[in-house]
Amino acid sequence: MSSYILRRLGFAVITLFSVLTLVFFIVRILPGDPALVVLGDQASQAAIEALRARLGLDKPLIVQYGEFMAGVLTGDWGTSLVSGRPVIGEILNVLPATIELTVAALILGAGIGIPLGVWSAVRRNALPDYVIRLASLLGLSFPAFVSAILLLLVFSISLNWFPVMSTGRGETLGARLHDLALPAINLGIIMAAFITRVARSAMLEVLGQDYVRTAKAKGIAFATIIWRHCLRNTMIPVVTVIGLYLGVLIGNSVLTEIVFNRPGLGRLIVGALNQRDYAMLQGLMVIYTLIVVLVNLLTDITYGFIDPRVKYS
Amino acid sequence: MTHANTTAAPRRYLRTMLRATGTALVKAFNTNKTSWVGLLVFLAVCALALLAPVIAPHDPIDQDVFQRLYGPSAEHWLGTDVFGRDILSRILYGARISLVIGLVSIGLAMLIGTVIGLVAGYYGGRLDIVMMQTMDVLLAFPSLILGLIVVAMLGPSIPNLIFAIALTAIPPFARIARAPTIAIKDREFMEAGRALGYSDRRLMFRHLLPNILPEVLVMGSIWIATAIRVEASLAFIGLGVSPPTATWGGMIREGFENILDSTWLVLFPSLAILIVVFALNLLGDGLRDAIDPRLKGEQ
Repeated sequence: MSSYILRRLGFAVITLFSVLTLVFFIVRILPGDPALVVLGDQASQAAIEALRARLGLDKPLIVQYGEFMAGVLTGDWGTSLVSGRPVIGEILNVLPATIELTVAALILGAGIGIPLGVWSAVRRNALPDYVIRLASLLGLSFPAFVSAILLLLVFSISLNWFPVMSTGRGETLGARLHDLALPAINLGIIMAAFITRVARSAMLEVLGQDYVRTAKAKGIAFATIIWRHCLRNTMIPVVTVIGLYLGVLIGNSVLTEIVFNRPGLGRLIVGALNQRDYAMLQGLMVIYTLIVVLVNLLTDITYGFIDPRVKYS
Repeated sequence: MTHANTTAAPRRYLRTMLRATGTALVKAFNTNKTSWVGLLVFLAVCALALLAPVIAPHDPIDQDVFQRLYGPSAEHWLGTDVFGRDILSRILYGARISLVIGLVSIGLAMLIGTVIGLVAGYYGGRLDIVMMQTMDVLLAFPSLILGLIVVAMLGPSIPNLIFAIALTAIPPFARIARAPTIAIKDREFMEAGRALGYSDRRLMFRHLLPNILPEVLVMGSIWIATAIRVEASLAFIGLGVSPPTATWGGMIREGFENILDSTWLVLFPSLAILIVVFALNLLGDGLRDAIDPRLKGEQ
């Protein structure tokens, strides 16, 4: 197992390195001059030159690249052009709120999606299957901000069950959960729609396997076959997809945080965009890269536990 | 080879390829009837968008300060916005932006991605590793964030939005084109082609491409839905086509400020997005099931 983990770790480091290189070049290859983007068209040439020097953009590209990579490794991600505080501090300040939201969404999504997907597969081409398939397709069709607005309209504005604005900083656990509920439900439902479909098709594939037929022939109760023989094999594609889904989840969390006015990376990125805080944007891209690579690594390691065969391949 | 032969052959080939792809798609449509529903709704939306200048009851950017925030009425079926503009007309015109960006960006991604997948799969080796590693890196990055940064740097305009969305959609097409290419490239008909001295380009585009085209097209329909969703999301964040041009995401963004007393401002454009995206998902999902070789014989 440890050699497997080491190998995955090696891959993660390579991916991290390539994505960080991509981030570096995206910001520099795109035609817009960051200094010009920050200061606007009316800025004087001297001001633009000064900002370019402050951002280190006047140095040769290879030196900039070296400094960027060294900065990422040592935790020096530059200072925000708006607040003047270190970028990494501002990010770490709101990161827990975003993690809290995504983990809650993940639990909801898996908790709803896996049972529904299994049920749908078991009752294939019967009424529950049709209803679940149609509902999950509908769930996938919602842009996250549209579903968030609808939830806000119904549960916060009409029924007044939840706060319109979520502070994400409730004192007690109950207050925190109450704050978290609606944003997490929003992200969770969309994720559940996704997981339902994957769980269904994975389950259908497993149900067609010979060992399931053998188990049936042996007279094992159907529920036992599902629980003991099928579920674990269904989990592999589901875990893969949860890992792949992270990119979508991050995008959706940005939109959800905006609608519910909840602190987090999403609001930070929109603020940075509006105020043209270029240093903050680069820092946010670094943190997103770190999160994606880390989650992919965790996904790979999880495989090893779910499927013993993976370790040896 | 005579001159007449060299000009007639590509045309004949194109006809054969289109016919084969068409037959596969029609069969897929008939296997899964919900695809027809999706297609009809989508075509209806396209028709409404095309006819917007004829059927829209008002000008989409004409402001009327005396008719601000009117609810739905006989004159304004879906009400008016904070500038007194007719919501129905803005939704009809907004459909044009959504559809153009969705169709063109995915068309581009499909073209570039398929070529990358074909070339990577066909040649294999180091080229394959480098190309697919690049695709994986692009795939690893959250697409909305990538789109957000690209549009923020380039400025919000239709071509830039198309570029940003196409960029995020290339990797999946490269992946879907590569897998069957690897499976097919050593089959007998390819060997025969090679023995006859056909060029790699001819083998790839005339003999491999028709085999993967139906799958790529089906995925295209699902990705148009995604592109429309991403465009609306970017517009909601404030990175859509600049106002006063009507876009669905932009309308929701503006309406969101008055959500407490004028719910129709966000409700109708939301519904419009939902209908188009759901129709495209129905279309693509049904077709995918029908052409998926693993599900053959189960329908």
